[in-house]
Amino acid sequence: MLNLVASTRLTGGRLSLNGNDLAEGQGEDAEMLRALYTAVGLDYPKFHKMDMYARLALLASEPLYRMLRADGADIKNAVGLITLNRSGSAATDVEHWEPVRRGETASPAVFVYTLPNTGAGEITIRHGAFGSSICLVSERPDCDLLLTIADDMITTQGMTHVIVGWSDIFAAPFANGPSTTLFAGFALIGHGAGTPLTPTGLQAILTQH
Amino acid sequence: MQGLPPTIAITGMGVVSALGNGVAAQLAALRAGYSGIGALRYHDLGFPDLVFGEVPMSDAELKTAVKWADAGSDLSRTVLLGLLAAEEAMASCGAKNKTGLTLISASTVGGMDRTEREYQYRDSDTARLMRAARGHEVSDHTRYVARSVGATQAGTISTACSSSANAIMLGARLLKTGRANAVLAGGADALCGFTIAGFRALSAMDAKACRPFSADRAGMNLGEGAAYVVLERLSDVLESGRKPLAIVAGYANANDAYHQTATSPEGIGPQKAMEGALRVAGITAANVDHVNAHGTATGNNDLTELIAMERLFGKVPPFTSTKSLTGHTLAAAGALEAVFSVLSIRHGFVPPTARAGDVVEGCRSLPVKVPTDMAVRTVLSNSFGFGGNGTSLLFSAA
Amino acid sequence: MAPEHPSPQPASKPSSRSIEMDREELKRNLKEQIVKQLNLEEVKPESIADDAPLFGEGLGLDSIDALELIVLLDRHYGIKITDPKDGRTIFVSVNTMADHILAQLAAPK
Repeated sequence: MLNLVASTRLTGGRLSLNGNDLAEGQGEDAEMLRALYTAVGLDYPKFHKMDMYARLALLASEPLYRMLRADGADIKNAVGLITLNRSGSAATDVEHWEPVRRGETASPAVFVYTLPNTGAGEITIRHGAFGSSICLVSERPDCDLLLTIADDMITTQGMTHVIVGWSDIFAAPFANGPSTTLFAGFALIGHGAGTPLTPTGLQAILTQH
Repeated sequence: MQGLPPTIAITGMGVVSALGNGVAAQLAALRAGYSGIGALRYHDLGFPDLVFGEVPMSDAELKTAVKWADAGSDLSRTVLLGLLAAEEAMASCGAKNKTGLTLISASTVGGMDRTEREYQYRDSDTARLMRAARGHEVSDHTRYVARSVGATQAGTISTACSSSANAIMLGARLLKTGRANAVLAGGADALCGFTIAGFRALSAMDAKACRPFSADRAGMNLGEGAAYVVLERLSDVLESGRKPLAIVAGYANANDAYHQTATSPEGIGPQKAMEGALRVAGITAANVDHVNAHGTATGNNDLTELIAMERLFGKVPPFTSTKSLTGHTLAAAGALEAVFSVLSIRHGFVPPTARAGDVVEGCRSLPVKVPTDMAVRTVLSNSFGFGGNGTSLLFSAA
Repeated sequence: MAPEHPSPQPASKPSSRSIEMDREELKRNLKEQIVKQLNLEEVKPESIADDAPLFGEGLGLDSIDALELIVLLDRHYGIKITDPKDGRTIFVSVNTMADHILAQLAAPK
């Protein structure tokens, strides 16, 4: 049985851990993320080079990795990561395409982020995590599938913990238009201390209400 | 412990690439060492100064070849490629009862080839762009393929160049845990201006046909294609009186945790992925007959992959980069090269690394340069993607 | 969306004194452009020494930053670098970048 060890939520300018507010950021979108970066005390200048998706995922997962570090978990080898969202990297895709369609050179730094898994990439780079990871794209999280993957990572891939996170900057289908609503929900899963985690329980963590 | 996990078999394969449409076309091309890399003929994207592994069919020809009657019109090329390969895989698996099928599909481009064409209407006809943008989300292509094959559950993976290798890996895990009875796993990616402009900005492409694992390699060639394999538990296959094509004996995913687009100098992530696959398969490095490498022909990948292989194997078994023949098909690469690995096993040969030259600086191993007949019982297939996500699959003879 | 950056007109035949003034202004502009283009939010442009190595220690730039500097030269100065390896000598410091830009702009077209 998989247990929920901890969870975070980043919504409406607030980052919370297990339902308790950790930090708050004023402003919209990029400004808000930057404010949270300062409020959380993240000393990591690479943050500013990332696209919004990666910044969002990095911030929302940070408290969980700090917790793991404090607990002496083997982040290097034994912490798996599952990231998912609906829009992939759509906003960054637009940012990449805009200059190209005007006949200008593309920005290599922007292009790097036009993939849904670069948020996970930044997380694993920051925390030196070599364990197993996967990135999915779907309209809604399939929590049965996610728990199956997490369980398999632990039972056959040698992970002791798995972090699962939904982070998206659109609340509606991308085709509905560009209005952004940043949301991230991350769960830290393991076999040790915690409460049993069901698909419904995971769904509550990964979805914005 | 409940006893040994079930053995996972491949029972069907479907593929379309620069080598042609269908498994038979791939086999003929691989045995002949035919390279499908050349100037664009079916895309109106420009780039006359570059070469690509283009599928030699127009969108209209792809549409005609797709058998599914309800496919609809104005489909993304990614979807068309995916439908074609998925149909062949399902037709070839021989299963009488195709209910309860799970689809795990992968893509990086998705419907972007359409979105980029329609983007010009962003201001003048926003509704038109938004209609095309419905296909932009990567999960959209999966919907089409799922409907065409009648899948009752589906998932989409997008992890750059390791995407469809991860799809196969996930499929195997779903079968082992009893969460699926048959899985169609693979991926599709079409060429599009978006991707070409991006890789050009990264200075990652060779203007000429690429030379993987060579001292004078100068970058990759982009390709396109789709490939799917049908995965089932071996016990189910044998019970139904069928024979498997090959076994998915091992798999592993590891992160390199170093840089978004460059692999660590020691090839840490690649080595972990390869070791993990061998561990799951329960075999040692000495038992690997052939490696279908990631081999993109970039300065960084080929060096770091070769360093990792030399460290893991000592004496590296015959290895090749089939991307020298197909180009780099991004999300489709893992599944495409899985099919090539199975063909190597079933037909006893190793395809060549076209145009390979002198040995990579600081290394001692040269890839296979000409199509070579040999007994192949086990193949290790590598797919290492941006974001540091790396997957290795181990296939063995049935 | 990224704002458009118009390319400045190259000087036709600069006197040595105006090159000196241009050079100082060029280096000041370059430092601001570098900080902006590479998203070095926590770096003050004036804190970058003219001859400080851009790569290795100090700013900690990587291979993608090197490619972005190529874009910077194109977008702001209309200078194209076709072989990224040329960047190894051009992007050593703000001084070497300024040298390259001035040489390119003064060269007959």
